[in-house]
Amino acid sequence: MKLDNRLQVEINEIVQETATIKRFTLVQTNKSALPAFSPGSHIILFLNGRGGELERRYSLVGDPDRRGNYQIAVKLHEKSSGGSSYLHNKAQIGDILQISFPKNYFPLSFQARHHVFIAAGIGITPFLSMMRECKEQGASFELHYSTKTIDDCAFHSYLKKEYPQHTQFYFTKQENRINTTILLDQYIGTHVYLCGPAGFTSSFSRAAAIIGYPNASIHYEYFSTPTMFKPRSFILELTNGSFLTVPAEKSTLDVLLEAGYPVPHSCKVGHCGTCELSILEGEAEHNDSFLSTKQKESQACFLPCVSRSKTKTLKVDYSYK
Amino acid sequence: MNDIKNGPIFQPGKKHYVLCGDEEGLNTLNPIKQILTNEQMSFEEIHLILECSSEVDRKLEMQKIGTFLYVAAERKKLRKVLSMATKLGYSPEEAQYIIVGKEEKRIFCCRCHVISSVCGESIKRGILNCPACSLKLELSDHYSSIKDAYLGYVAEVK
Repeated sequence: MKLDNRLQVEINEIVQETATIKRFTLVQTNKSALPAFSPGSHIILFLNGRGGELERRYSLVGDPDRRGNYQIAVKLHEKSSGGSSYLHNKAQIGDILQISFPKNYFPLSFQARHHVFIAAGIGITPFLSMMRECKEQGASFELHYSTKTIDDCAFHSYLKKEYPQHTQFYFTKQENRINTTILLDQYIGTHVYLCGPAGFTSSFSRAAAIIGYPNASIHYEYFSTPTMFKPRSFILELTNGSFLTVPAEKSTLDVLLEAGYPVPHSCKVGHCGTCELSILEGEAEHNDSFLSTKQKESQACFLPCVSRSKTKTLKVDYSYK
Repeated sequence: MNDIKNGPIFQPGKKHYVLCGDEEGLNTLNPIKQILTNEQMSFEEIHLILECSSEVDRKLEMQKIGTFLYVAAERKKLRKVLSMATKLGYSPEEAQYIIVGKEEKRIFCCRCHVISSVCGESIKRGILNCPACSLKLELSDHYSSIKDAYLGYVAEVK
């Protein structure tokens, strides 16, 4: 059922994959087929939280060819702000949830000669559908998957069975730590895909750039806004003469939306570029992974979903009615 | 070919360099070779005239991430290497292609779709008659990598 560009689904099955990871199978409430998705896609789950509606992004881990259900795997976060805590502690079979249509900001490259997937913890999820596609297409690939222990390793037996020749496990508490040397000695045409905690992703991304991987060959996925160092509040000036205060704890996009200024947006993690606004005065502090280095240096535009201002006031061209 | 440059530009900081070309092309790459020799950097040469194409392909295929490729040759040879390198996954950040010899451009007629070649003064003028349908064409900067040709617009509306 389509509801305001959302799908209404029912939890059909819950499987405890590890002590902290549960896999949920979702089916449409009207039992019809779900929209097709491509490997690497995710859905947004809309949940009611204390401060209003929460949006949480989860990779689709099931088979894209099985349109009868979607599957997501959710890790219980120690500092959960509501999403994973609800799904782990309250959600039950039969519960109705609202989800977005599938979106993909982490697709497989069509140009890669070889794919190297590097996952830490729950970061394994987007690679499950991507590896399935690689195997079907006969594409060359390898997976490096790091968790604390074998007990924390979701889908361990599945990966061992389906991709024994392609998978290398690393268990950090067993002195088998993953490191960036796996990026060395790869042939030109290799693309690297990273998914895991922000520190893990950025250290591998930096190492890849130093080794000489072109920017276009380094792919990564963030499911939440990248961590910023002490964000500061600033004034956002609009071309209609309005001034909005963007406090440290809110994004520029959220402030605009809350003030009733509709800005087209999609990923909310600086990945898609949908919310781009032109800068008229001031300098932005760019935190996105969409704009090129040259575009960021030009200070002609910025992405309000994750980016902020270096100057006290940032004047933007707001032309939506 | 939009990726093609008029002369090589040195890209510092790479782990290994490959200089690939015909005789005139390798001469064009001499300034790069000089820098690499002086700086004692790792490099190898591929002679397009002396080596068979399968050997050239194999050498390109075996290069590791961190390698930078320079290819300098006359148009047809250059196009062949560029096509193979692209297929192997060389990105614009990992290669430079330099055309040597007489400048020549292929132009795709927007009416009859015949591709013809222009060189010298005709390129500068940017106007020519399609040899197949006689339509007066203006050479555009719209390049098709599939056709390896620039789109020729209608230059005159009668």
